[in-house]
Amino acid sequence: MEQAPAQQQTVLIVEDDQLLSGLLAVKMSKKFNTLAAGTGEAALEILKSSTPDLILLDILLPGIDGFEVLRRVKADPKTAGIPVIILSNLGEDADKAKGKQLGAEEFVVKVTLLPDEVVSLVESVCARHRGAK
Amino acid sequence: MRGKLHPMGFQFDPTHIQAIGIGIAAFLATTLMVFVFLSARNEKLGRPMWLTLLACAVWGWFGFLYHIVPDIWLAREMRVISVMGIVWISMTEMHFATVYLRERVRTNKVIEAVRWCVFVFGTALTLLLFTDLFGTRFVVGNLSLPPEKVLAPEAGPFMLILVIYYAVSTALAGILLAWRAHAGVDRSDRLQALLLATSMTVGLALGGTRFTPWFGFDFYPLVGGLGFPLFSFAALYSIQRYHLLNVQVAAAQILVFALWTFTFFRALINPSLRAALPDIGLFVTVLILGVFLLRSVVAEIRTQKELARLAVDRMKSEFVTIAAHQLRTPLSAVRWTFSLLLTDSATPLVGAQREIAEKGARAADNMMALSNDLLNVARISNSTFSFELETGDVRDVVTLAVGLLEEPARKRNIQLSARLPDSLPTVEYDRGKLAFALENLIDNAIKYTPKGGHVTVDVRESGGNVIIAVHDTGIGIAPAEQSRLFERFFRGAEAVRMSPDGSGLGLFIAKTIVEGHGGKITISSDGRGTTATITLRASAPAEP
Repeated sequence: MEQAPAQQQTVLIVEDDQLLSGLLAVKMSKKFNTLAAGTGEAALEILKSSTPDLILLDILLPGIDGFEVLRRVKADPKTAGIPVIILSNLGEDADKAKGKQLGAEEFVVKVTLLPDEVVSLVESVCARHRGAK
Repeated sequence: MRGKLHPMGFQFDPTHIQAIGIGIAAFLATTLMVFVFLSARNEKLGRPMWLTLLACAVWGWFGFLYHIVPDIWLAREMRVISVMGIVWISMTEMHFATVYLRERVRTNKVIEAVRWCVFVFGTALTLLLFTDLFGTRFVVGNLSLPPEKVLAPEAGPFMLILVIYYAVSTALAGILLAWRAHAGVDRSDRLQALLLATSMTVGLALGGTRFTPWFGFDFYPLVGGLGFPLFSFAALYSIQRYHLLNVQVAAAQILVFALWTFTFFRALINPSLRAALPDIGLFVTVLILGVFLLRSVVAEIRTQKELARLAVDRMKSEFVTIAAHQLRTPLSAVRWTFSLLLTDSATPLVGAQREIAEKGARAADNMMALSNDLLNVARISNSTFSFELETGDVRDVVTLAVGLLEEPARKRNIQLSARLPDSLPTVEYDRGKLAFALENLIDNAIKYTPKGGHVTVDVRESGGNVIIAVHDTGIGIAPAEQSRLFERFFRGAEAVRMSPDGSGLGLFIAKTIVEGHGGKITISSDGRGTTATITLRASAPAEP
């Protein structure tokens, strides 16, 4: 978990690959507070005590998968309003449709984006979400 | 008169042995022809093979009828048609030999000229034989001879020409077949071609002894009978070699053909038409049912093959999907690591370090493009490559694609520009996929254009269509390669030399995308550059 100034927004990164999670956290930490979870269960545990401003969610996770995490996040009134970006290496049309149907704001394929592009996307979704509120 | 040669009166004399022999040869030729026609008439070697067998069947059946028909004049006509079959065997065998040779050797004008000579002479002899049917006796002379001399009728004035024609064309085809054997790619290919060449040539040469009685030497009963079995061996061999035959289909065909033959001869040997009627009815019924049986067996085998092919395709694409997905996680790590190294301002890379990291990042980008292409191809094979169509303006897509490729073009010192009209009809498109197809075409144009060249994307309306043309001043595409550009994994020789990294999948995917929109994609090159054109049907009138 990275420490950052209090006024910054917080992003929960749910990613089982530690290298990817770490690289992303390095880039994100310049603009956001970051929380990291390596499994779906760990992510849900974090959400019991914290309310991040956005969740970056992988799908293929040990234990419960990202779709199930997303379903539970959207089912819980406390977390239902948190925007979720799915950042996965799955990218079939069916996966994208399922993600959208479960309430994900965006579905992006990890390998096609660079960390800077992920940060820009998170910023734009956060801005959109603030605007919607 | 030859009246006593009716089949009901079989005796052991040479004429009857010949009748049985030629009847068996005719049966074999017809059976083989039916096999090849049903299983492989559209294959490259299947067509000349079944035509050759058809000529053999004509020769055989009419030769057989010549022995059994009671009327001397009718017998003569049968013989003339049988001899025509021999001429056609020469022509079709030449055709077969040339097609077979072309598999390995680029045939030249001399070979083509020889082939045409064989055809022209063959056609001339056929015409001459037609006149024989009306009694000119130019080739097949007089048949009004006593029965014991029936195998050595009088030769017409052109019989010698026919014999020379047969001998020369068989020898020429033999030479071409031997050449094909010599040009084989490996030992087994050479050996197989040599076997085929030897058996076909020797078979036909032995068959040529059929003519010797005309000149007073009767070698045919001695060695001629070996000719067709050898020829059959050659045909069967090539059928097996090229997998033209399926055992189940063959079994059904043999059964049906045996039934046809049995019922046909049952009908034939009746003393009167009235007595033959039930047998004729039986023959017609068996004929019709046999056709249905053969068709259903062939259809069944095709379905089985298609299902097996689909299962293999499915397994392949599942494998590709899993492999490509598994590759993506480590590939993401590699791309992100290089990106961080190159963009982290706290510890900037210098000189050679930066150069190496940039090369690494480019290699990882290429690998990503390849894994994406493989996944797209797997989706196309799985039929999960779907389109989300919306109505829109392709100028947006062109601007997007050109924008994405400006940087690579600038790096290669290539001037990339788009010419957009002021107004354009809308089209139904999947924005992301159409952009991908167009990026592919522009990316190719940039890759295969030498430094300092131009790439122009031209958008216009024409006849209710929206046309996007990508012109370049690049290396062009060799005419021989143009027809293969949209094949999976195909890459032109010059393209590989200039840009070794491509997967050969981009144009295949682009074509699938454009055709998925109901459009058309073409590529033309005149050696001074290439134009790739996407044509999409307009859905609404022009919009400014």
